[in-house]
Amino acid sequence: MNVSGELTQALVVAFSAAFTGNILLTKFLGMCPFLSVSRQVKTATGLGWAVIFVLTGTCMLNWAVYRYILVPLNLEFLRFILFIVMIAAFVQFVEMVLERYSPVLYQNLGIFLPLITVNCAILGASLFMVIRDYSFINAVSFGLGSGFGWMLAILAMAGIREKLKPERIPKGLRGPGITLIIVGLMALAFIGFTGVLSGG
Amino acid sequence: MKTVRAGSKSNGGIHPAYCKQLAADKPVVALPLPALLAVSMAQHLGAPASPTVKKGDKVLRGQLIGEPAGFISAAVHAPTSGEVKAVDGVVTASGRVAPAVTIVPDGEDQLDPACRPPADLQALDAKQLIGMVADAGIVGMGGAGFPTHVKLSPPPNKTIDTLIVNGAECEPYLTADYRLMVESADAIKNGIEIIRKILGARSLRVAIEDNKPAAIKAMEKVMARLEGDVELVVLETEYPQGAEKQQIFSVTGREVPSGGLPMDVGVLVENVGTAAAIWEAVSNGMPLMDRITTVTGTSLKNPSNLKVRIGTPFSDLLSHCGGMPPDSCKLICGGPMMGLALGSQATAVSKTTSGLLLLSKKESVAFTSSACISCGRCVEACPMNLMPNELSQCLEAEDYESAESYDVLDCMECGCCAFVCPARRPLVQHMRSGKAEVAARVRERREKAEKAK
Amino acid sequence: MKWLLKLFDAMRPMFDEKKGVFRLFTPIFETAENIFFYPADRTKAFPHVRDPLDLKRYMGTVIVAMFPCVAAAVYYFGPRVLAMILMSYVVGGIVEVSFAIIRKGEIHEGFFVTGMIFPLVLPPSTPLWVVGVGIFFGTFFGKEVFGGTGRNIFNPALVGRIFVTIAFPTIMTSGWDAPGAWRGVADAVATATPMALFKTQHVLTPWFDLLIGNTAGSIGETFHLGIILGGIYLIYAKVCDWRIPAFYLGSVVLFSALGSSVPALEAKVAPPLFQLLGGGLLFGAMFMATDPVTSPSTKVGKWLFGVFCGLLTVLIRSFSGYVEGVMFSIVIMNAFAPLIDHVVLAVKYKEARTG
Repeated sequence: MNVSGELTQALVVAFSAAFTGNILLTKFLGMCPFLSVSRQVKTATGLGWAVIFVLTGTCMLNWAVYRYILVPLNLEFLRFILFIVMIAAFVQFVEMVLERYSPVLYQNLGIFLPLITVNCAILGASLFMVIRDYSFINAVSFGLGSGFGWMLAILAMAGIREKLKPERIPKGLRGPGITLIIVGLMALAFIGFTGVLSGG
Repeated sequence: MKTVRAGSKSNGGIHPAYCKQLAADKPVVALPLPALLAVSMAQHLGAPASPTVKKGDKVLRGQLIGEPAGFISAAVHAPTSGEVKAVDGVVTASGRVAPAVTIVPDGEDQLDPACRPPADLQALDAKQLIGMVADAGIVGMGGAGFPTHVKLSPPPNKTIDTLIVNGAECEPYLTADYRLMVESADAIKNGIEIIRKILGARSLRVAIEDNKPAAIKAMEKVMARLEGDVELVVLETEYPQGAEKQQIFSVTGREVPSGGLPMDVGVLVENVGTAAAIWEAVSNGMPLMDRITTVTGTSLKNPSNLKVRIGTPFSDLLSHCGGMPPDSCKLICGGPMMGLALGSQATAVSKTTSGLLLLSKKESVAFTSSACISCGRCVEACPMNLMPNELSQCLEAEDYESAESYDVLDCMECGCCAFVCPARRPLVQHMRSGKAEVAARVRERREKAEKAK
Repeated sequence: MKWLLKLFDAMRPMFDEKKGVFRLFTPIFETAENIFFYPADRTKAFPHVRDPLDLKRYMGTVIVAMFPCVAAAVYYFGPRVLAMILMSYVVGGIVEVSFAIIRKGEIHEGFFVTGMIFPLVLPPSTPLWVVGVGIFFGTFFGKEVFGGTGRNIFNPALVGRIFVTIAFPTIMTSGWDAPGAWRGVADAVATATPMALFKTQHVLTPWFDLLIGNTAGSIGETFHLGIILGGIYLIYAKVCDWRIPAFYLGSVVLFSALGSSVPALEAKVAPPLFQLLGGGLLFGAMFMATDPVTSPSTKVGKWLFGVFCGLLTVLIRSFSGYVEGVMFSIVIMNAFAPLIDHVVLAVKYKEARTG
């Protein structure tokens, strides 16, 4: 395949990861931080950037680990454990580097980084990447697209939750209840993307 | 002198039913002397005047009965001769209790000999003129009641290059300024010349809305003789064209910065009524003792423009105009947009009472307010480019921080947002309480910062 | 009207909020009273005069603007349309009234619009029970759980429409009545919608048929001439903002023109005129995207909302498994409307926040 073809395909993969197969609204991965950190747009933005960064980074890392370590050794069944370890190590490493070299960024992302380790969207993306047998470029754009889609969803939710008037919502539904209803309705709308540039 | 149409117009604004035809063609008549006058000491912005007379004193017309109690304050004079019956608190139109001097007129209307024309009008300099304005107790007669002598003495670091004389009268129903322009254009012109002399302002603009052709004609006639950079600016009819910042923008294209004053852009705005009062004070030595007030309402038998003495109870005005019709619902001091609903007819005319409006049951809208549907009509209507919908929701949620950042303090309570709101939300009331709270927070912060220094 | 006033006066004690025998039904009584008379309390605070356009008239204007669509729907698809509207009002009304009773609040005018829009975006042969299920889901989950009119995030009629589309795919996509079939004047009883014809056979329906609504489609969205008239009336009456429909339609024209000019996509992206007059675009742009509650309230926000709705509509229409993208794109953008406002305001008031 030529370069432009590969780029187009990477774009399609990124688009489909962000919209058609939005990791949150169609796969329902990464719900816990989504529910707990979507009260304000400001914090949601911070978490969103952190997720994009970590998703992309771990996708690259895990791609390499899988292709050059697990496959040659016929140890593919170990990928769950190894991916989790890689993600945790990556997040820890990034946290340390950030703390040392960019205190501002660390201040902004710092509290979110540990949260991300247990974000199943991260592991999910790595596993999808393996199942779909992406090339390296596609793996990177898949990570980027998934992260972007996740951020988009949490931002929309934060905007909505800032606008909601809790005192009018039925008591039992305040908080997580209404949030889940909103996610449900958003997911309903995202079904409209079915089939759009389904990519790889 | 030339007549021009306003080149610009600020955003927003509304077009309510004006209903000016009710009283527009009624010449100004003087209301007979009432049986009792209650002259409030708080007819202006700032500190109330302190009474200089006590119970039982005899006063003459034009005699000082309240002296200014601070820098921003104004003198108050007896509107007729008679005996002081009481010096105590009365309820003003805004619902506050303020000290007042109650006078029982003796019917002779004897003038204080101190009120006499100056020996040589031309020889007076700016300082003397400002002194005369202060002594006459003149305040802004458009509604706010800011003491005029304070306004006419800007700090030395501000230069005023343009004087705008406001004859817009954008409040529906009211025709007091209109009648004044039609009938006493000369006095207004002379007053304007005095103000120009005081300020040394290079340019003069007289602003009138285009729904008052007779007033435009009358002012054109008298202003034809004026020298220099003089223009009569015809404004598009729209509420609130008479609001200071909006008018400055319409007339000069200058924008008063948020939190700033007109003098920050070299402009000073005076109402036509104030100009006429200044002329009366300077040429005849007469303090501000009466004013023109429109008494109007569709159900009222005889809407009129009355020349009334300050302190006349509203009930006298009403009975002169045919009394309260049976279907009356609300009595409003001022216009329907910014006027205050009165609790009692006993409230008295003050220096800023531009009108008395009677609304029938049919006219006074009845409603219940409901949830904001974010239609955005208030945003379109707001002349200050605020977002009343967002603001009112912030204020309802007591989120004063956001309200402050959305410039709640710029709101001038013109009521355009509430006028257009289909959900009938009490937007102005939200803004008022919000402004008070935010202003208090700002003050607190400033004090803290100063202490820290 | 005097006797009516007396009747209401006589009944008032029974509906007293605290002591009345029928206190459970106070909201219904108050609403009935509001329809005939003004409520008893008046403004105490200024401004003392108000624009005559209140919520009642606001919603009334929207319903009047939809009248041509309803009339055309009855003409093309028969009196069944009226039964569907009735069903929608009855079920939607029950949900609204029950919530008003539970909340001890009042019944809001908004449901009159929702109850009208919902049946108008359904296929003509939709079973009545599906109408009921859809409007129930729409008003319950789309509106009432958020606190009722003015507090909902998504357009309730569209929430109901998407729900029935996904829950009952076979019912909702099969059996589009041909216009006039109920009177026996059409050649065939059932036919495909113009959007489906383009997608499956690449056939463009003549624009004149599209304009006068002589095509299959959801009952209220085929008579495009009437929708245009209704939309102009809404904008003229200042009930809806011109920005959303203008930017929505404009962006559909732009993106479909761009898409259909690319040779590789020509078979998928329909040309602009067909996009405008085919399917539910006009109805959606005029009556649903303009719903003030669920669209941004800032001016710039409204542009962005319109542009993104247009982009998504073209995208979904051309490339997704669904033939129609209007409802999905509007609901997706509903979800982003608060965020758009947030960003616009943050940019507008940036100096104040940082300074």
